[in-house]
Amino acid sequence: MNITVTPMKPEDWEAVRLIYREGIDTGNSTFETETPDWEAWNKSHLRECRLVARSDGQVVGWAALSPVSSRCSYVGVAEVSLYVRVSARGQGVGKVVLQALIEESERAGIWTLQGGVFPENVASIALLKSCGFREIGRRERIGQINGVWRDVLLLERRSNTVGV
Amino acid sequence: MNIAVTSMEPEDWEAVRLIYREGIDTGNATFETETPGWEIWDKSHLRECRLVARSDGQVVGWAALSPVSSRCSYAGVVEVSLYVRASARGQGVGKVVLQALIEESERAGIWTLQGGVFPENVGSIVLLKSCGFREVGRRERLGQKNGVWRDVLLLERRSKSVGV
Repeated sequence: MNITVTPMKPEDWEAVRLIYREGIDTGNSTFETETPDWEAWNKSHLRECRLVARSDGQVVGWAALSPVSSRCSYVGVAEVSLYVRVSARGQGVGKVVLQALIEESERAGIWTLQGGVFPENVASIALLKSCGFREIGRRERIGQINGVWRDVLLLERRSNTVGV
Repeated sequence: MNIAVTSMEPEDWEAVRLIYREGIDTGNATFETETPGWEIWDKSHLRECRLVARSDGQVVGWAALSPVSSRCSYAGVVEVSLYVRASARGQGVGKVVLQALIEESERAGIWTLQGGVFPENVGSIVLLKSCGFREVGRRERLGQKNGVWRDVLLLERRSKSVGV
């Protein structure tokens, strides 16, 4: 699979939303149960570091960042969202996008990337760890999805080049 | 020391701000370096669960909560702020306020209280653990204070009566 990573364009939104929907449908990606519309998504994610992965011109994955706090001291700490199209899973798309996201984030001055992952989502945990994320710990029954209280593993990647 | 815990009233703000200032001055309480004005403080904390501890009519400590995320699924997850007047430390004020805060938070439907504490702040870590908080893990060089990158311990207390 030939994968290229480019900035997300407004015209990518429908494909991004569909891939997000597929992620929600796994039940193991996010507490969200509905995809947001563009305005809500746009407001809750950083303008920088919005990436899509393409193969044969098709969007097969995306990644973006959200701020974790409005406090000045946490301006360099951001939370990762990353989704891969169902039909393109297991082919290294996630890793290519995540590596590009890490590079972009460091260019943007971000020193800590964090990921909140359901413990059942073994593939995402393995992907994050393969790119330098470290497990911080487990949040117990932190939220509810479809009536079930779920734990979340918190992982982080502290940059060695930004904020040193 | 006879300690009574009551709701924080607008006329308590100056005392609250002074105690916050003392906490900042320890260098081990928060990344903040300035106390906010009332409006900013009021906007960044939940309206519920704002408490002060009094002894002989004087405010000797306070506690309040901040939301950690605007996501609906995290509506019951909040961050604790708790400060004790320098001259009243070591007399159990923190524990009385924290226990009252836990009760109030459960009445308000909150299922997870979290605390971010500098590892050097041993007094706060012991206090939180004595009230049912558990260490989730350590955030590495999460933020900078006076030019020094600081780790933060993340602790949480998951309610057994709310969100079960």
